[in-house]
Amino acid sequence: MILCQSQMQRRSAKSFLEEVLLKVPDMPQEAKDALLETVDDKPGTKRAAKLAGIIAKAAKDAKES
Amino acid sequence: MARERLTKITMQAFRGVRDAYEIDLPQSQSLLMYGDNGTGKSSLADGIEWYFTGEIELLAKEGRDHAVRHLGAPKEQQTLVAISTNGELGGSCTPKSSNKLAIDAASRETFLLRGRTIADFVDKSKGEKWSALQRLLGLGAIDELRADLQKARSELKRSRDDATSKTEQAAASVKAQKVEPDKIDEALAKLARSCGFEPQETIDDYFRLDLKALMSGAPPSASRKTVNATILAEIEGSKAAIDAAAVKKWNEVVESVSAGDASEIDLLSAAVRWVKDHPSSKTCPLCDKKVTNDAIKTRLAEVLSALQEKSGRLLNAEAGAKGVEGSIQQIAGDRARWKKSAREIGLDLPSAPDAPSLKSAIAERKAIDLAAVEAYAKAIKKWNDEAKSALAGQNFDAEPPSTRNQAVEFGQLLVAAKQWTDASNAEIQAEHAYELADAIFEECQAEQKKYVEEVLDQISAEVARLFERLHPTGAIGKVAVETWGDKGIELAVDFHGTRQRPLHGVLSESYMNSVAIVLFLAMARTFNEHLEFLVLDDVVNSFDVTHRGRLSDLFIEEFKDWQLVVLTHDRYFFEQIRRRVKGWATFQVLGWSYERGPSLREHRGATDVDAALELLEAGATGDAARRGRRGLEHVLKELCEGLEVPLPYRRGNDNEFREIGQLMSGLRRLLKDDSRGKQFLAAIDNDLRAIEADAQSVLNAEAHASDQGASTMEVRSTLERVRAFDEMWTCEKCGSRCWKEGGVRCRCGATPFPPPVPAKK
Repeated sequence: MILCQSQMQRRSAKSFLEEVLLKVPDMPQEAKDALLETVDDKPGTKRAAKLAGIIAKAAKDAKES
Repeated sequence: MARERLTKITMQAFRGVRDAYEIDLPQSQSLLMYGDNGTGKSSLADGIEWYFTGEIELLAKEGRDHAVRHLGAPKEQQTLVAISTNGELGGSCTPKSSNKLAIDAASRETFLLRGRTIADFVDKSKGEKWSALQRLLGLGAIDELRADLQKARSELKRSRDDATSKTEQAAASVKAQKVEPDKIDEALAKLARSCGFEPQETIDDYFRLDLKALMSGAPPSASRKTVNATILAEIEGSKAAIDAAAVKKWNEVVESVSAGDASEIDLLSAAVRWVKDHPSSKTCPLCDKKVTNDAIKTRLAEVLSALQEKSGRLLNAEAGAKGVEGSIQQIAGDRARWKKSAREIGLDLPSAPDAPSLKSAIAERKAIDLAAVEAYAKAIKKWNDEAKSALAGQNFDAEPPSTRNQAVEFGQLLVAAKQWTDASNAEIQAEHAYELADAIFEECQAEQKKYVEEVLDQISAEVARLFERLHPTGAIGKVAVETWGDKGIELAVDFHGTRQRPLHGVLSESYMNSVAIVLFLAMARTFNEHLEFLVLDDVVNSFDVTHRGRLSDLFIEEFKDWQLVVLTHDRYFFEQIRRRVKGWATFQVLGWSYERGPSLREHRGATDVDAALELLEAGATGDAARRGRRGLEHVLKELCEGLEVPLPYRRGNDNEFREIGQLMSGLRRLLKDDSRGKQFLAAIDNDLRAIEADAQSVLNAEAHASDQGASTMEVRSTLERVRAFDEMWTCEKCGSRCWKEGGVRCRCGATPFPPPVPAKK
């Protein structure tokens, strides 16, 4: 009996982050889209700062709304 | 996305092929090739490896790349490998041009296993295994994203901590005016009424009032008293804490990470940056050798990944040390500000102690002088005590409240209140941002862990199942692939009731090779998205006859939906597969010469008897008889193995050299001792005797070497008898032997043991 022949689909960083963000409810879609756009950026300190900026803005917008 | 198979492989002036060499697989069928060592079989595997990876691993080391070309190839003949597939990945490659599409498609696929490197993956360290899995899964980009989210979280945590500190200081300023922060509105309203203003709804509303007229002139003594109290409150409220533990951690890490590690991390990071900045470079920056950019990138990423754990510890410790440096700067800055404010109200506070600089130690990755940091912390405590004492000792003449003084007091409280509310709002916002970043990072960690575990569970299930097929009765239990630490994976096995990892301590070399093969197969089946073929080059060297048989069963039964390219120098393994498969292209490499390269003969018949009959047609009667004898030996060995015929014990490979007569006697004994076999033996005994006699005479190689060799007709009728004997033990419906899987029946269950005796023609 063959128990396991299914092929596993590799996940891209983008689909991975999409999956992660689905589990973070307190975040506007606009901010999620902005985070997803950073996936194509060069990894490193600059991208980390960009991510921090997007998250901080999302927190601010959420508070103001 | 459809996975692709090979339909044609052409090589020219390549490795062991001088002129041209072509294997046609028009139905993208599997390929089985048998040949002795050094006959050019592996050139075929080399060609496929070169085309789909851009290199041949064996030749990847410095100074070997010229060996891609056949030394004797004519100058005008270009070194070339051309591959056709049933999809889009076909094309050709030369030393100067590779097929990028094919290399990209195969970059994360598993398709080639060689006998000489079979245990390479099993032998890798847990970190190297992790890197290899990361490459297969494309986890690199996900891991970089996780690292950047972690950095973003740290940045937002620092912002939150700064905001908290500012709020505490602003609260201290409010308290210095004998007002609790949560009672600011009441206090402002009271003072506003005293000054003749109407209390306002919000602090911002107060700022719209014109207070200038009341605020002109020198500050009254009441304001000096307030400034004094503010400084005192701020000193009392300041934490002035220096995290000595972070300094100790930094010192431990820089002492444990050797200079070599640190410089390797820096060098490799610089190299990775270089590769990214020079995407079209075709030469190695260090040795000027030709190499594809992707090859450098992949190797650097693998080596860098192994250093990432050390690098991560270093970066964490560095963040802590930088935090201490920031605290010291904050402490020094606050004291300078308080000293200046005190001077404005006529009080001279003591000079603050000199702050130690940690910058150069952090930049150079050297230990920080912990004693100097601790001495500074003590000196600050002493300064605080002296400053508090000086501030507390100040006397200010009490003045009767006046509208002007109350207006000033109101203004000062208003400014402090504004600073406090702004700081509080910023703190709430920073806290929210940090919580959000923390939630995203934690989800990311959990998702990555879940993903890796899912993958490992799937591979483990497949590895365990395939391994059990190879070793169904052994003492070795379930084999699995498990995570080990944050950045490691390792193979584990249940061994006599205990879990063992890695396997090296408990498994023999051949068992390790079994694990390597099933791991290769499991990975290909789990992850291959573009390629549906597997190249297996001499992979059975360390297996005994029983396990070679099981391995051939495993390939044929488990991978019937794949295209297999099986290259072997093992005759038994070749025959095992050849006998059982239909529709495969089957070749024998007859020999190799420097001038001509490998010479091939295609096997069209499925059995030795077919091959013998072909030889007979070609007039090679002696060769046909020898081939027929080999076929008879093979059938008898298979019967004896499958039926577990009791034969006198022989050590190791001596089993392989039993005479036909001995095998026949064993078979007779087994049938005689079996209640079902006795009658069957009686029915076939005459045929057995005839075959035995044929083996002595017609199929006797020595007889053919003399003038008294058998005639073509005698050989033909003997071959027909051998064929009938062979077919009698094979199920007509499923083609498997009738003792398979359970000991009494063929695989489909239609033919029992003993098999029916065919009617005489």
